[in-house]
Amino acid sequence: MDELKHDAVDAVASRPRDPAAHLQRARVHRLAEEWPTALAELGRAESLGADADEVGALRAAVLLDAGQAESALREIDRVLARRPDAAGLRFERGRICLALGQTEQAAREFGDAIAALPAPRPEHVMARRDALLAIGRRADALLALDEGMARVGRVASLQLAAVELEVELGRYDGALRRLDQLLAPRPNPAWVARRGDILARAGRRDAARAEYTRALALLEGRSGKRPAKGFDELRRRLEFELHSASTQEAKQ
Amino acid sequence: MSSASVWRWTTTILLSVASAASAATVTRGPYLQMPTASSIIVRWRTDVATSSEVAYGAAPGSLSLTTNDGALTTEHIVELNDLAPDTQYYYSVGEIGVPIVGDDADHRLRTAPTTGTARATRIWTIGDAGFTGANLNAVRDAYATYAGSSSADLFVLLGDNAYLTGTDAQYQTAVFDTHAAMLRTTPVWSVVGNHEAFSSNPVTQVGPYYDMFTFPTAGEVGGIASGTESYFSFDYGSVHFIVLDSEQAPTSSSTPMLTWLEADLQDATLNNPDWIVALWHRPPYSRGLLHNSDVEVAEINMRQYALPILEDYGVDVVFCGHSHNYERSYFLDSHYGLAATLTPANLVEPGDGDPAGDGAYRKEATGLSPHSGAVFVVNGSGSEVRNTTLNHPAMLVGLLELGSVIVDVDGNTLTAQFLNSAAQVKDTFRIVKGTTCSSAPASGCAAAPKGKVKVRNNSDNSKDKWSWTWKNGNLDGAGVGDPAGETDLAACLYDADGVLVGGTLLHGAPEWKTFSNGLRYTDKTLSRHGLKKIKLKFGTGKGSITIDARGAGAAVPTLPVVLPLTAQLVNLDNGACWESAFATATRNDGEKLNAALP
Repeated sequence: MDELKHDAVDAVASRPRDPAAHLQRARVHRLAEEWPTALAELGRAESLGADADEVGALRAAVLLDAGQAESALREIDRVLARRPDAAGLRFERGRICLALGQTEQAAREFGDAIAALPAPRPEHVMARRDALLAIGRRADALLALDEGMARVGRVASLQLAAVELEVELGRYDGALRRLDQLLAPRPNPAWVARRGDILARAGRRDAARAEYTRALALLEGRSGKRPAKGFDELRRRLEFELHSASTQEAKQ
Repeated sequence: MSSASVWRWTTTILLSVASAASAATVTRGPYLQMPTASSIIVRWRTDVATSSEVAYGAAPGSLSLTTNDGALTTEHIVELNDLAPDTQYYYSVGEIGVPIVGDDADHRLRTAPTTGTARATRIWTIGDAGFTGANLNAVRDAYATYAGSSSADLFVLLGDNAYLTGTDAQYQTAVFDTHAAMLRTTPVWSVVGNHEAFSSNPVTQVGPYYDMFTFPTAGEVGGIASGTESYFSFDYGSVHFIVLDSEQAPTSSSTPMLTWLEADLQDATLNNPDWIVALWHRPPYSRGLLHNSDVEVAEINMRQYALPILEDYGVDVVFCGHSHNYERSYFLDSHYGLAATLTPANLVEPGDGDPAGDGAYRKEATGLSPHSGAVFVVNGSGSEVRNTTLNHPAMLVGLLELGSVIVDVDGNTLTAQFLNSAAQVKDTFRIVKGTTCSSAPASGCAAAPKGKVKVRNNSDNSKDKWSWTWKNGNLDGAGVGDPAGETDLAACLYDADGVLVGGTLLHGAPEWKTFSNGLRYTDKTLSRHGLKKIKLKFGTGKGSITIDARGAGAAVPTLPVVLPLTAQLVNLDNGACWESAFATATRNDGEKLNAALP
């Protein structure tokens, strides 16, 4: 950070009329969480003719970091009025809305950003899901995950989140279908076991037991190798589930 | 740019030889990315927009295959497919029908070995190597001096690759100009550092870092899809690499990155690679100048949330940068708190892991082995050193020297060396997996005048047995070490074709007991290589070794054997060893092998 500051100071000293040097210095002060100084540098950059959109976007980010969400919103709206296609800023607006407690609007902004970003991350999709869950819209959150996966790909981090939402909504077959999609290329015993859990929750005990047995067989396919801790715990749990099922069957 | 956006290419047999010279000049690259056993991506930049073509073949002057695209661009991304595994090709790049550079010995690429193949692999890794000039050049040239003509298989950048802010222009000088020779022959991988994040937005994945590199998002190079170029995994031979994003460090154990990480590790566990190597920028343990892992939130979060998952599934080595120095840890496990919370229980082995020092670190299992120890390396002195205390208690080695790290993976052995800018190796550690005997007997072992070997091969394997006695020699406690404590021993019997029976006894086995002038190991369960008894009696001219193994676990081979016969006890940590060599046998048939000295 010191290095960046020295570099920024040197740049401004050698090129005091260069708006890019002041913008650079503002970025450094933002990283250092020196909000007033960052805002002052942005003002200088603007007065020297820096790109208004660049200044506005950075000022909004600084204001949000500084806890001045309302000012941040005004600033970013000014930029978005000129650049409605700026997907990154749309996501930033969502963050500002969240900070202001406008969660529903935040979810909308996140959705627009995900649709427009050239390469959205799973984290963007989860931000939208979280916003929708925060206002109790679980079905919409599930839809958001699917829309996100249409952009990001059917990655495990999003698909597993969708599985849990399906279960919460009582849509067990939907959850099972999603797990099947994950399992199609790769037989992960943890996901097979999760299928068993969902089947058990749906009251389909025989099918659940079959899945627990399948998961255990996949784990035992690794016999002779020291099990991963997570798999070791899974093995014990599966053995317990199968033992419980056998005991119940014997009682009946 | 994700591979999904790589254009569609067609491969055709080259029908005509280019005749015209291109008006374009290659201003960046070529450089290689995303190597698999059957494909690789070649990238380059030209000063004016042209079509793209890579011609390739088995030798310079006979580049008989081409892959091309007619769209005009200055940023050329060509994926070669249907290549043979672990095979060297020579290539040129240019516009369609007009090569611009290449078709010589300096423009070559090698495809990856088939995943799971334990082929000797070298990785050259540099961190925080973003300051151009004499320091960076010295680090680069030191590697060239050390490696000579042997190429690295992979070139790994540990972040902060171009100072100060990772702009395209800074990357041009610090990476593409400085390492041009390496980049045109060796696929490059990178992690995102804090200085990259200054010009490239890890949140939106927009900026020069994301534009200039092609990384997997959909598991194209192994592992499972992450959906982002900021964190991903890839396979190379028998090594599974994991790249994490410490700029967006997890703030809980259930972030998308960590959900992906666990799923990826579960998948890796089922595929059972020999090694897991993790890479990211901000180190979980460090006392670099201005970068204290007890203070910086991202470091704390990576340690607290990412490390437990990695160790649960058996990570072997973690390479980071960020601090402008070299630090190397003990063989650690489960240290997730602040530095002051480190206890001896976190040290899986207290030694230095140096084959020339305390001996290699050893893991009993081949493949992945959870919570069996990992080494953490801060490799951040690629272009600058900052004076600091380097006193993190998890760190065994701290060096204020410019340098880089060379990682050699060969079967069940991983060796890492810190090479300073004068081409001197200043730190070495090795991890060895498995408990099999080395493939050939050790040399320079102490002999004794008397010795005897017996091997019995029964149709009922539970009745198999072998024994060795070494008698009236010099055997001392210092040479043998402390097998109940830190010393790894190997008891092995070889014939002319290699290992017959025996194995490694890793340190710390509770079956070892001391007696008045020696050590005794007794295991009626025969849990380690069928070994039932080892008795080591210390003395000068009166020392003796007695080894007795039996049962199916002894894995007695089919008899007869091919003489000569060599029985050895080896201290794997200090290299001391004792042996009996038998040129002849009194009996060597399908049931029994007997040999004796004198």
